[in-house]
Amino acid sequence: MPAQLPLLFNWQVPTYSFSNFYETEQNQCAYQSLLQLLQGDGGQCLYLWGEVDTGKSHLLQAACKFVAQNNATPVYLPFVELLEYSPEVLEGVNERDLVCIDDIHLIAGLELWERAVFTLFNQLREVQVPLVISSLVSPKALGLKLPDLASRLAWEGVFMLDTLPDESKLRVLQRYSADLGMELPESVGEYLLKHCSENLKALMSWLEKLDYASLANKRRLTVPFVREVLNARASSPT
Amino acid sequence: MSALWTACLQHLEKTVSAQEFNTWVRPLQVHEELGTLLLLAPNRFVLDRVKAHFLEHIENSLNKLNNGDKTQVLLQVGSRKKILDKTLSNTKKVASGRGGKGKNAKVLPLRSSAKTSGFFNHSPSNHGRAHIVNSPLNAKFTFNNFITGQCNQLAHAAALQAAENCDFNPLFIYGGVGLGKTHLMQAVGHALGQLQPNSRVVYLHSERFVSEMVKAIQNKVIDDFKDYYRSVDVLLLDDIQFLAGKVRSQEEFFHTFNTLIEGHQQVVITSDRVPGAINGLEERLKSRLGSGLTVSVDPPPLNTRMDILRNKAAQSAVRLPDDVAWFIADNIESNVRELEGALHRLLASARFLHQDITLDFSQQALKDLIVTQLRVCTINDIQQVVAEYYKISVEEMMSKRRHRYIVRPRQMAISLAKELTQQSLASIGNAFGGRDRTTIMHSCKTINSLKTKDQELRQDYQNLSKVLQH
Repeated sequence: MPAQLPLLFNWQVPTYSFSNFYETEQNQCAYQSLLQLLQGDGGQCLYLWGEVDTGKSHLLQAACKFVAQNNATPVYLPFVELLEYSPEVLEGVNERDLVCIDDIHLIAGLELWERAVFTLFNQLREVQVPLVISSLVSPKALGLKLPDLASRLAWEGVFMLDTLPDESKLRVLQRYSADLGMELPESVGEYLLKHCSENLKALMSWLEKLDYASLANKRRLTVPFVREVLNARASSPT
Repeated sequence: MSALWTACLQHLEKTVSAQEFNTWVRPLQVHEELGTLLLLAPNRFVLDRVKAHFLEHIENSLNKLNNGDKTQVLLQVGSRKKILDKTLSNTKKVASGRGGKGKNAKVLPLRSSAKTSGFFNHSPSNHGRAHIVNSPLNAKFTFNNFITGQCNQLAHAAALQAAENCDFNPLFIYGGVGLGKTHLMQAVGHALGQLQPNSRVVYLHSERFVSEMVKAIQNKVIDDFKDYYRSVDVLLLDDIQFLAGKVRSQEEFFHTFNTLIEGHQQVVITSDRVPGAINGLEERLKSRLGSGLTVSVDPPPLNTRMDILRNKAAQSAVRLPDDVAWFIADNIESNVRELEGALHRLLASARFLHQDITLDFSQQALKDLIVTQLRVCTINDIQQVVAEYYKISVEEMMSKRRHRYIVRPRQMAISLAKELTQQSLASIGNAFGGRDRTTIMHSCKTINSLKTKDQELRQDYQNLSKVLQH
């Protein structure tokens, strides 16, 4: 008998906030420094760097949410998406209350973009608007063509976010599941971490699919059920 | 912020993906005018994207939240600040008109504070009039906070002299990035401002000079622009090398510069090199720039770097132990900004982890930063050195072969690349024959685990690390 499909409705998109950020020993200093910056007590620029899955984008978007709750207007600039545009897409953002640049390493070597970020950096300092930047690598390892920009990025707080140990990743997945309204048993989380050797973002996407499948099949999340879903997905034509 | 807009945002946040929402919707500012909700996008790209993907959704949400009453929504490029400035400017114009001075007021007067500088920020709807926005000097960039040493003694003395007697005009300060040129330049501005409280001190970066000039031309207020910059008492122009190749801006600056020098108004300019070495600058401008006093700021030696650290720490009410100051200053030689960055990081770590600032703690807290400073090797270097150490070829290391005598050196090289180059896992994977990030992570984990159990391997790792860093 085919599984009953749940009614289609507008899924509530889980949002990135400080309340659902998983604070660990590895990211404590970066996290606290960001909070301090947003409270106006910790300089004007923060540079967070580290591998994929260390929570950089989460922190940047949580920062946007935090300042928006205080009637301010933030702007989040994910370079992975914005590089499709011209550097003029950065114009006017200095008149917002917080600027968050995600994945700055993507502009290394792109002269026009480096110039545009340099100009933005100077504009933001003049009007004292805080800037939070994320990158895969440290300012020095960025390999920027513009040394003026590289030295400015290293000026204030530069913090490395370490990769989370598997135990912390499990807690992150459990928290995300809870946001989706689903309980993720430890055994299932461990199974996912072991068998889906992907990044956390991909695992979260798997959780969304499992949530749907669990509703459709009226089954709780168990290791056999998850294995069944993963196998079915793997063998289904794309 | 309008309660209706706040409610609309809350609704949209639940239905639009977080990245889309934060990139395109959150940056919209709102202004309510006569029952119309004006949504202000920072630029035309945001405006186009919102119009194409979100406007209908926004209007529907607003109507629903407004119990079916249609809300008039207008989308345009701008900011709340610009609208407020425009309102203020109109109010001033009315007041000025009443006072009978309107006809002569081509440019709004600057605030009579020497600690501020200004630039034209013309609004097209402002009927050809220029509007001046103030931009303060950095309060920390004073002579009191400037640490002198052999590297900058002459520049410091010349700047003091310029601030006291307006001698050496122009004063041209050059040097590498992050060595204190802007600090010295602004210190002159602060000092002159204190001596002559009604003087107009203008500080600006060269890039802004260019963009303001372009805007002034576009908005047909170039004469206001010229009048403004040619009538300041002190002009501080930062990083003049950014004028290179911009002929029209150089032309305008050349005339501004001449007017100021002839009027005995102080001009201070900074650059990353001497005037004659700035490619793309007109010869006549180079020659004029070098007509006053040209001084350099050089990288600070160890003792000056330690003094800088102690002074910066003292500004945060922290006493930095000598061995810690030595440790940071010895490892970070490049520039003062990076030195300050390391100190910020150390102070924040000590505060958040509730630790005293000792040498051990500093070494731990700044581990990745210091490694960055030490790093002189590339992945290629690491592959060569490790292959040589284990007497295999680089080709074998990159191959798919899984013999133990190849696998272990490969894992060592990968782990060293992760520690010493700070390249991403994906980049390391690519450099090792297109391996995926999971393989790279597995190699790092294996070596880390073996280092705790296998003394010989630990020693090998340390030897290789030492060879690669020195």
